[in-house]
Amino acid sequence: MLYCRTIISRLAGALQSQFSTSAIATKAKLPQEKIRYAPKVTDLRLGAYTPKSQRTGVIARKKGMCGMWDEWGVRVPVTVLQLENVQVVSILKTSHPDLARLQIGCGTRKDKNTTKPLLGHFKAHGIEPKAKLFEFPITPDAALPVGTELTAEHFVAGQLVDVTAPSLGKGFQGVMKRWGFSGGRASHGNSLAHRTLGSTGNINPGRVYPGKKMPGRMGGKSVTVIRLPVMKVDTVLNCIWVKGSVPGYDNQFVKVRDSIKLVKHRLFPEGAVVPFPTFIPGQSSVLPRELIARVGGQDPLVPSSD
Amino acid sequence: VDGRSKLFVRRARPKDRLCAGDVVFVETFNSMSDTSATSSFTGVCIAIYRRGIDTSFILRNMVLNVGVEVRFMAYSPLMKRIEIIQKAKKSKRAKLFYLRENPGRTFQLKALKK
Repeated sequence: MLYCRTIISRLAGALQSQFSTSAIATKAKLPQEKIRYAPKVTDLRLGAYTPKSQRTGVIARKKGMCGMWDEWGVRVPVTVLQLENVQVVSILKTSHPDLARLQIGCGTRKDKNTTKPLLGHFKAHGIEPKAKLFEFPITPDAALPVGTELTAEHFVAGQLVDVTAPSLGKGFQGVMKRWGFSGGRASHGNSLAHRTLGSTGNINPGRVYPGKKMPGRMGGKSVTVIRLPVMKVDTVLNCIWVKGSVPGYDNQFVKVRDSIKLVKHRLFPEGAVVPFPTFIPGQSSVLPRELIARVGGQDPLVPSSD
Repeated sequence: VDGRSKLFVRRARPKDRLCAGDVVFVETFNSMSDTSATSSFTGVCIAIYRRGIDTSFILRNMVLNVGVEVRFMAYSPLMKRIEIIQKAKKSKRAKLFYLRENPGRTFQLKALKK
């Protein structure tokens, strides 16, 4: 028995060695060699915007807040976001041909302050070192060649925009500020428990659930404010004035992109000329210095007739 | 808009500048769609808030024996015109909130009665 087994094993071994080269070959192919796609864009050309297209976002600097009056005389609070040397740094490779990603850079940074790996990355794409880099997913028809400058004219006055930025850090905060708990009574015998958590659970299961809302560090996280209308585009100072407030402190880098959650809303105002894939100075029509959004609708200062 | 800013610039001459205590006449549009309909208000300027584009001032007057204060945004498109009717005597205050309790003879001025 033992002898038979050894013969069989030797035969099996011989057979295996015959097929060994093909076996190695099949093994090399699976796990499959990663195929990466990137849209090939050589020249900058205006294209046609479709509702399924997704243009790049942009990195801007939050300059501060201001006020302006719309066409009905109603005051609107605005945040001024300035685009500083915003360029396409590289086109990233993705796992599917229908997905594309652009890496956008904003601001400037001295060579001596940039790390060697990053310096090499910028040099490879022929771009001055940027202070902030971020990737934006796009559809392949919105791809831009490396080095394209994105300006405020990329945005249409009146369009909706999502702004992402780290929120102001609040430090270690208690449960009332952090989670909006109501705390305890102020008087009537309450001892040392005015702003506490209270109970943390039940007798069964007799433990505290992971993720229980408790005091801790608050703020400093990435927050996205959605569907902010662009009230004004300033082409000379390269600013967009966006209605409402934006997370974070002044002079911070924020990421601005065309709004995504739009079931009941229009991204661009009716009849707007959408610069697709972006505003190209030679090819797009020249825009005036300031483009102010029209709010539309009924005059809110006129009492509506019922 | 440019004509108005002289009223609020601190460096303007005292006769051009709006000061606390001046009697001011303000005319405003009721809405932007119908620019013929206007409202007007006259009062003593009791406070000026200089905030760039959000510059505002408060006018106080007695309307039917009731004290009324109105705060106007200087650069709003609804403001038609601002005129100083009577300049104030030198007051030692920038904000004349004491006039709410101690009006004295301030609200008996002829200019206000128009």
